[in-house]
Amino acid sequence: MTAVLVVGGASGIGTAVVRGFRQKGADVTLVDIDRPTGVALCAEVGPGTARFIECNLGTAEGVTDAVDAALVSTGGLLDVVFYNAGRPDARPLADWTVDLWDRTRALNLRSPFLVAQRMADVLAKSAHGRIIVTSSTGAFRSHSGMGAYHASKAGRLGLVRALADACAIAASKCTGWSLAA
Amino acid sequence: MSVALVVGGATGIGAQAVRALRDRGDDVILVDINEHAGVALCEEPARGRATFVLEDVSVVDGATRSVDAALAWADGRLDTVFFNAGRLDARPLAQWTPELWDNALALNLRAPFFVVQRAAAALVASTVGRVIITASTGAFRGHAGMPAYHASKAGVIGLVRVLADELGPDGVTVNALCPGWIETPFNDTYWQHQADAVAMASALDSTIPLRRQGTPADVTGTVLFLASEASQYITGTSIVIDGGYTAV
Repeated sequence: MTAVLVVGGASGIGTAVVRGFRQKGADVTLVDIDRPTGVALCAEVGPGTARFIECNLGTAEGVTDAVDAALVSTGGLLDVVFYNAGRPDARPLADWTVDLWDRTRALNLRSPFLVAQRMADVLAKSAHGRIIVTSSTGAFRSHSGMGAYHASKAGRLGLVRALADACAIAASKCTGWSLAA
Repeated sequence: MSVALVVGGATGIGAQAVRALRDRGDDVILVDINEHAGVALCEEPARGRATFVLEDVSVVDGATRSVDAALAWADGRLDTVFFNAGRLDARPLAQWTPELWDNALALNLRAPFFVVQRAAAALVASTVGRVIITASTGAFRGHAGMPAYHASKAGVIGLVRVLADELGPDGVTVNALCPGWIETPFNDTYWQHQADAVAMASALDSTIPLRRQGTPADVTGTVLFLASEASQYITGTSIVIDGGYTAV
């Protein structure tokens, strides 16, 4: 049975992915900031199992705690990490503060790196270790007012290339992929 | 069950795709100039039926006849066109002639266009019309001695965008496959062009994150995915299958 960690999936694409993995019989651990919706999603009846872990991916400690809790719940085994969390903040240029920029970048770019870093050894033990990071067509095109979003989504493409190289050297199995959703 | 036209598949990536499509129950029309291998492949036991058509699609009439033969065999039905034929010519710059250039482009770039043009009406009539054209990571990188190959493969990336726009309103998706280094006889021309092929092959493996060249079976999963309902919102793009070769 495939063990999957979905980071960011209480709504939208992540929710559909949680349901899709469970339809295939996978064991899914969902990490999200939205407890009521996440709990309800995991309580749905499905062939595969699912559990919810609440977390705040905006801080490094929040990421570490969530990943460690996920590993405890799966017995230390994972095959797939789907990093789908993100935030699309929009403001006029002059209204952007350093704090907002840092918070966007922390969730959109630092957090997937920290998750991958923490999970690399675990995925290397799997026969089919996979990391999938949701990027965006916003990595290729941009809109006014959303500098941090576009910069971080483009940054994710660079991140998966680096992870593909790093993880493959360590394990020869773990592949890094980016969805341009 | 679907009907797939595979153009260029007597060996390598195409042959493995023919097997995979038939294994899941698709009926396959295989077009190739290699009659011996093509007929043998179609005679292999599998769930889906298969038939071989001997045509050279680098000639426009051959491309047209290929599609017509497929439609005649499948009672007018066609769901997938997988255009996988291609040639890799290697020569020092000064030795390239207009004839060699034209012949390479005729197969690698003109043929997929005219195959799709002829097949378009049938694909539109399908509920899962799919076009898959094999480009290459050679669309993004280039090697000395192979100008027509790299130019034509980059051209395929542009071609699928155009065809995606043209056929999208009718529900047909068009995408390019970009295999990296896949170990097949197709690459022999490249290696024969190198001064020290053995050392270069070894050095190549060390630059690929997954530390090996691919096999045709590494590509079939993507072909089956693109030739299915699961890929219905993917069109006009290129999917790289290269073990990380172009990422680093």
